[in-house]
Amino acid sequence: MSVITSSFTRAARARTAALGMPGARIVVIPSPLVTKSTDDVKQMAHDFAPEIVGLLTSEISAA
Amino acid sequence: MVSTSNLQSRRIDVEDSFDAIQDYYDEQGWTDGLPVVPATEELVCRMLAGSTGAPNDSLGIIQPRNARVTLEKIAINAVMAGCRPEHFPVVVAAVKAMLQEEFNVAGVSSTTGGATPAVIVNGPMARQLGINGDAGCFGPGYRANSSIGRALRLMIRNVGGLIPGEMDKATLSTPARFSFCFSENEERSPWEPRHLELGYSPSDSIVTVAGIRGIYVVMETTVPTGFEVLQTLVGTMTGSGVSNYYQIGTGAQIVLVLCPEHAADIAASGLSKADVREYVYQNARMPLRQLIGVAHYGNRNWPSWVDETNPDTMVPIVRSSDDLVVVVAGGDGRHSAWLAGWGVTRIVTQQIV
Repeated sequence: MSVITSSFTRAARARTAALGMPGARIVVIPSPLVTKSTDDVKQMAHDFAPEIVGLLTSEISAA
Repeated sequence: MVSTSNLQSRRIDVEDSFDAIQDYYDEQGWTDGLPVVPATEELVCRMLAGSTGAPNDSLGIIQPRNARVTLEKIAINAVMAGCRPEHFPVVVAAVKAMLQEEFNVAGVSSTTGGATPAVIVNGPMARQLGINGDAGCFGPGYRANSSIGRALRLMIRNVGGLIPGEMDKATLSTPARFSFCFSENEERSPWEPRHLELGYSPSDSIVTVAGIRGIYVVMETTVPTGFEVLQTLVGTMTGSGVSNYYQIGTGAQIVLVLCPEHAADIAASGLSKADVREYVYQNARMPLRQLIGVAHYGNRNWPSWVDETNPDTMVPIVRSSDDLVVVVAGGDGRHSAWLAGWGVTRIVTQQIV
């Protein structure tokens, strides 16, 4: 599973397809990240933690 | 010569007209936006005759598309770029260099910083093939320069999968991504050329491939000594926004391209190429206080010897003088340049065989 910012969505899909994992799990967070304060980044981590944990712990489908 | 029956790539039938062929290439997304030479079986076989290997010989895997790089794929892109068969060994050597892990072709070619390989050729093949290292060598007008550099870029796009806006995330990109290939002007250099510096013999030829994200041209037409020329050069290297200062931990490098007139003045000041490297390393430095909280600070990767608790710490533009490459190129006039290496790539040299 990967966490990416929204500006890399197309790149991430192309990359997972190239690696033979078109259905790879990707969590997309808002872009840009680099200019955010530490507190803002911590808040984002808090906000997205449930989705990330959910994908990490859920069953992988046969597809 | 290689038989067409040895080629494994897909054959495509297109109406035999210039427009139909070019439109097809364009629609497939296989070009740099300019017309390409159609890669017919005959032309690909003739290109392959420029090398000693078999079409299916693999040089490795190119990322991010995770694709196998064969001589045949390189030949197809070299044909499309306009190379002659005698250029092919240079293209192959440059691809080999680019595929070395430390070059990090996927990073160089996908960064928002819009980096690209600069290909520098040394040795007798540069002259034999007409690879320009004299007047105007960074620009157009020489088939060898233009087509060799272009072949590398088409490889990155078509085999590596770096499509702008997709896996190529360059914010602005650079016109050097059409092609950037030149030779060292060995005839007008006061120093030994790069291949001898590296221990190769005079009869050897090499390519040096550097992942660079900018060309900073420096004019100095006034000062009388080589030392002062270097002062001006270094002066352009110290300013906010030069990302190299933040990326010395991952080994960001710099190529100094000295024009013959500047090089002659510097040599007349008693300096060797090694002295130039040391001078730049010692003098292209910025105080930590000017680097903190601005530019690429959020992505800094300083080695432990950079004392981040002391705002007076002077941070060098490279982590050692060995991370500077010095070559002489260009024609008359007093314009040198420095090519800023991207942050997570290392310069790779490969012998042309």
